[in-house]
Amino acid sequence: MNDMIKLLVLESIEEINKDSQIEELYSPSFDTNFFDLVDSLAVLNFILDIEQRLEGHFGRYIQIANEDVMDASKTPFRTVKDIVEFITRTVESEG
Amino acid sequence: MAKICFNRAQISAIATTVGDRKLSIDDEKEKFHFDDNSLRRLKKTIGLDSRYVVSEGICTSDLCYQSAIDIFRQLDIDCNDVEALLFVTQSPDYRAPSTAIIMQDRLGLSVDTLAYDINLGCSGFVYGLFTAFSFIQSGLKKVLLLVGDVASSLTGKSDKTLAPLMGDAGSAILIDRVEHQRSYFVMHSDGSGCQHLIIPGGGCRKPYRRSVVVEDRGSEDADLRSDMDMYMNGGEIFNFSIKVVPKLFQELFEFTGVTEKEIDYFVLHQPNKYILQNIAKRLGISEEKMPSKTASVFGNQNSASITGTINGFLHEKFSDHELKNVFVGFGIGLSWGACYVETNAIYAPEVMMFDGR
Repeated sequence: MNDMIKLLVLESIEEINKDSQIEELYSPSFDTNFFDLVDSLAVLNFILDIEQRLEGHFGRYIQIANEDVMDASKTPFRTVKDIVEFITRTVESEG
Repeated sequence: MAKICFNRAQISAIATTVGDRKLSIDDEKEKFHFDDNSLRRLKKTIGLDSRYVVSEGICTSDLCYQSAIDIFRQLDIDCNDVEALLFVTQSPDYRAPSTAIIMQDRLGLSVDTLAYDINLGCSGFVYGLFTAFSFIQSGLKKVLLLVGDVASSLTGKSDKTLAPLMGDAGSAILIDRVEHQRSYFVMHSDGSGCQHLIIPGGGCRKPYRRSVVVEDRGSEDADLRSDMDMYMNGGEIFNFSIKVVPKLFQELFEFTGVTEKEIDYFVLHQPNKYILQNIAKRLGISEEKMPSKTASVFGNQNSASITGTINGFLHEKFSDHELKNVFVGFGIGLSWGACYVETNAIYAPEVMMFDGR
């Protein structure tokens, strides 16, 4: 599960970076600080894209956006590792 | 939590007038210094496409006037029968007096009319409707509610974070006393978030001075916005919307005992496509029952966005059918509210463009 979600997250980052064109996001590591590198619109685009990929993979809508996504102190979308872990937990909690 | 139920008020008519100038985001690309990538992202995520704004000198009251006169003429309303006039706006004609009082005279209403303004934005239609229904419940027979903003006047002209989103609209809503018609309202306010969506200048905290504008224009985002213009922390407002709106639905369903399946239309304030589609998805509501295109076609119409959606996309349904509706407003304040209201083949014409009346 974790590897598959990591793959989807990296695909989403690659997709949104076609617009953002941020050097550090061309080959992101687990520790790459995604949230601080992009603007709020890119975060929204990422959520939109990853939700579509998850829906395509699992066959159902899985809600990723929550009230903390844009909160710099609480966002679960800080590093790539944070994102993968958050989405894994969310998918598992939704059965 | 403020939860209120009424049983004597009914909406009889809703009409909306939008600005006389249609602007396309493609045509505004240079003005806002969007590159191709940025523009593509905004179109895809936020749904930016077009918006309607007024020509210089046209006020919210002018748009509302056209909407109200249309209702009066089409329903053959005797102006002397209107006992209260409420005007919900953040863009009044003057700082004082209330524009509602000026509109009493302009619309030819009796001097016996109760009239005042309510300063609210995106939650304003629900709050205005609540106040109008309260008057009816208290004994009045006919109330005219005007809602709207010349929202394009509230932002910095070149502020690309807000200006391209805004559309101008003014609605009129006629509310009548009937024998029995139940409606339910749930309302909230949280001033701790006021700084996230605010026009800081022009009040007593930061009175208008020419230098306020000039000084701000020297700072980094200056070229975009002064303290006399609206500021929005988009991330915080997104978080707020995602947090409060789904809960609001739950509260309203519990209060009314009505289920999602029984509702014909969920008409929400229309900030942008992304927020609405996200809310619809997490609540499992289809796009047919929760329209989300208003901001893409007309712009964000603030307090007139719910009525603008009805006249813009649902006018035939509201004109021809008995409907069970949920209206939801949320935004500046922070302020949010929802109501369950049934309508019965009301007068709801297609959106009008301002024609200079």
